[in-house]
This record gives sequence, structure tokens and C-alpha cells, in this order.
Amino acid sequence: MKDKENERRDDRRFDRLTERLSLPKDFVYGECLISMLGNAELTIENYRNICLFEENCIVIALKHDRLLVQGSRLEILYYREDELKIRGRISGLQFLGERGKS
Amino acid sequence: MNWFERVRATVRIDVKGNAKERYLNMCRARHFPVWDVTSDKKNDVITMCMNREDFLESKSAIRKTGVKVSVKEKNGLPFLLKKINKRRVFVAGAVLGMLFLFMMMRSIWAFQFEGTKRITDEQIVDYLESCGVTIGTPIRELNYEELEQGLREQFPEITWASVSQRGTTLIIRIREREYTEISQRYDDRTDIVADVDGVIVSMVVKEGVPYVQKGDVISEGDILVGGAVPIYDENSEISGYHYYHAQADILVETSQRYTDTLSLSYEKKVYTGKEALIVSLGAFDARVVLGNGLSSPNVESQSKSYQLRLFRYLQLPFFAQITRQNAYEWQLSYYTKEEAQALLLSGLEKYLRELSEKGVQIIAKDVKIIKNGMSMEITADITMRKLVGVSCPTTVEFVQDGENND
Repeated sequence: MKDKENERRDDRRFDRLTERLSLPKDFVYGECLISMLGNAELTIENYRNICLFEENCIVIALKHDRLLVQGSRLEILYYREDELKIRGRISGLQFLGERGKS
Repeated sequence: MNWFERVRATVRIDVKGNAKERYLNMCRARHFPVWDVTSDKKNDVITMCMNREDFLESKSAIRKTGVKVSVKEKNGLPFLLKKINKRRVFVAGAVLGMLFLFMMMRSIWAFQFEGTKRITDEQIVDYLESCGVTIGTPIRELNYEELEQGLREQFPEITWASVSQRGTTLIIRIREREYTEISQRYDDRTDIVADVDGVIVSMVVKEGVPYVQKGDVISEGDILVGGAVPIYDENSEISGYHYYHAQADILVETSQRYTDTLSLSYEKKVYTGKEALIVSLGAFDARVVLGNGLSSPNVESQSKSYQLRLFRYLQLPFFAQITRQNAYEWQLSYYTKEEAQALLLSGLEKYLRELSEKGVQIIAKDVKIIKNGMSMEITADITMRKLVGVSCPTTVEFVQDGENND
């Protein structure tokens, strides 16, 4: 119990420190950055890999989550180590939770 | 895709199997850039593009994932060079062709003339040749201004000349002086004198003193309108003259005789049926003639020349000339009465048409056709109305009495 409390206290201190130093959260927590251009383009940074790739849906593994991109005529414009870009007619985004946890 | 990516050797591949996404992830893990990834659900295939080197290095990933990969397209300069290497003769031919074309475009291979009426194209060509400008002259040696000036000096009829070049064609545009009968002009002190015999139908005097009036019969040489207008003093005596350039529209009814004679015998061209086709092919100054011409003394030739050109003005020094020859003989023939009459009447019609074009009104015509031995003669008395009068210097001079006494 004490360990958990200590962990939470450390987390809170870490959050406060991050806020005071104005550090980017995606960098500090390793969270993904998603940006969209209308419903035609989607750029994702800080992801792990692609779990599923089909014309109508793409599942991308993030650090703590999985992202489902739904749409039609989806294609990956580029697939680099740090960034990937999807183009098509995007109809929805859904976070599926970590594999095995949801 | 930037130019560097276009130049690089890339492949478009189809990935089949259960672990397509794994293969994709392994490529990323190995820092192989991948782009234009599309999925075809029907065929269960992922299509993607990657560099050729990366693709070759990803063979271990293919083995591990168990996917089936097939190359769909090969792009980039290295692949293009390979293709070119296979067709090097064709490519060399194309390059040589371009080079040849480039060399050809540096010279003049055709002349084009615009605005020539009395001066013939051949006359201009002769002049250009005398200036050293011929077919094959390098374009850089041409001096347009000098040629223009030379043309104006050589041909006084030319009022304006322009020499320019388009492609391999030298375009010579000229404007000739309008043909006007150079008649002696008298700006002042002129009378109007009759140039035909006839009866005056109407008369409108614009300047001068009329000597005749409507209905008068006039003869050639009569003064119709005087340019010297007398000035009278208080005693009604002429004290002097005002001189003018007499002007008037004088319409005269006159008659004219038209005659023409036609010989009933004539030489007719009769084709013997012997024909020949001669094809002449030329390049630069060299010519090859295919086919033999006819040896008959009377041969009619029709030639058509062609010059190779890529566009309107990009003429090339390759020529072809097709000549058709037909042999004929002269045969003595005779016109029938009807044929001769028709020929003579058509001649008269032509003459009347020419008169009408000059503004002459034809009132009546009395036509007679008479056979005279081996010839036929047409005589037509034409009554017409036309404007008459030519300007001549006035002869009226004012002489003072005192001067006479002296």
C-alpha cells in the first residue's frame, strides 16, 4: 500500500515538475500526436507499429493504446520510424485500449 | 516524390500472406522507408513502394514473416539505363537524329516570298544568289538589313522589303509600288479636250468654262471645258483670266467598231498515248533520277516538287520531284462554223466585259459574222456611253493691247 502511495506521490511531483518546466507532454510521457487535415489526411507520431491494414480500417499500436482508423480507400502515404501519414476518406477514430486489457 | 526519389531505383511490390503488417513493421524497424501503401482486400494483397536496396536487404524479413512478395514495377534512372542499354541502337539513332536535325536547323533550306506581283520569285532568287544567299547558307551569315536595302536598290518597284527567318525558311516580304500610268499632270491652266467623237449626253462642270453643252456633237480634239476663266472690266471687255485646272464629268454617246478574225484551220495537240513517270530524289545538291524520259520531240511535262519538312517553317534539304510526261503530235484541224462563231462571240463578250469594268455603258451592239475563205471575221458596231475628256494645257493667254502695239 505504501509503495503505491509513494508511486502516486512521485507521479504527482513528476506532473508538477513537467508543468513548471513547460516540457512537451508527448515527449515526456511518450504519448502519440495525432493531427488531421479535414477527414482526408491523418498524421500520427510516436506510435509503435501497425496491427492491421485494410482498405476500410487500420489499427495502429500506440504506447499505451491502440487506435482504430475507419474509413474508405485508406492508404498509407508514408510509413517512417517516427511518423506515418494516412490518406483516404476517414469516417472515425476509436481508441481500443491496450491489447489484452480492453 | 522529389527528383532525387525519382532518380533512385525504387520498386513497387505486392505482399501476400498472413503477416503482411508484420513485414511492414519489420521494414520500419530496419529503417527502410516505405510509401504509397495500399490494400486490396479482394486479393488480400498490400502494395507498397520502397527503395531497391532496401527491398533486397529485406529478404530476411520476407523469410521470417513467410509472406510472398512479387515485384510489380521498377522505377528510377538505374532501371531506365538498363532498358536503354537493351535498345542502344534505337537510342543512338534517336540521338543522332536529333543531332542531325539540330545541324540542319542552322541553315536556310527554303525561300518563301510574299507580296510579289510584277517582280517574279526567280528574279529575287537570282538577286539573293548574287548576294551569296542560296539554299544551304548558314543562318548566322545572313545580314537581314543589308538584304532589305539591297532589294530596294536592285528593284526600284519595291517600296518596302522585309527579310526574316523562321525555322529553316527565309521569308521575303515585299510591297511593290502600285502601277499607275505616269501621265503628265498639269496642276493648273488646263483645258478638257475630247478624246473621242460623239454626242454629249450629260455634262457637269466642276471648274472652268464650258465650251459645249448637252446635245452638241463633238469631235476628237475639241476643247470641251476651258481652264481660263475671263475677267471682265466695267466696259464688258476681258481684262484678264483666272486660270484653273478644268474639271468636269462629260458623258458622251459614241460608237466604236470591234473587229476580229479567226483562221478556220489550226494545229491541234493530239496525245499519242506514250507516257513516262520520272521520279527525282534529292538531298542537298545531289540528285538521283529514277525512270527514263520520253525521246519524242513533242513532250508535255507536268512536275510536282516536294520538300521534306517537320513543321511549316522547318524545311529540310530533302527533295522529291515527280514528273509526268505525255508525248503528243500536232495535227491540222478545222473549226466548224458553230465552233468558230462561238469563239469569236466569246472574244466579243470578253471585250464588252472589260469595257463594263471600266464604267462604260453599252447601249446597243450590231454584230455581223462573215466567212471569208478560210477565215471568219466578226464586226460589231457598239454604241456606248462613256466619260470623255483629257487634260491639256490651256492655250488661252491674256495679251494686253499695249503689248500688241509694241
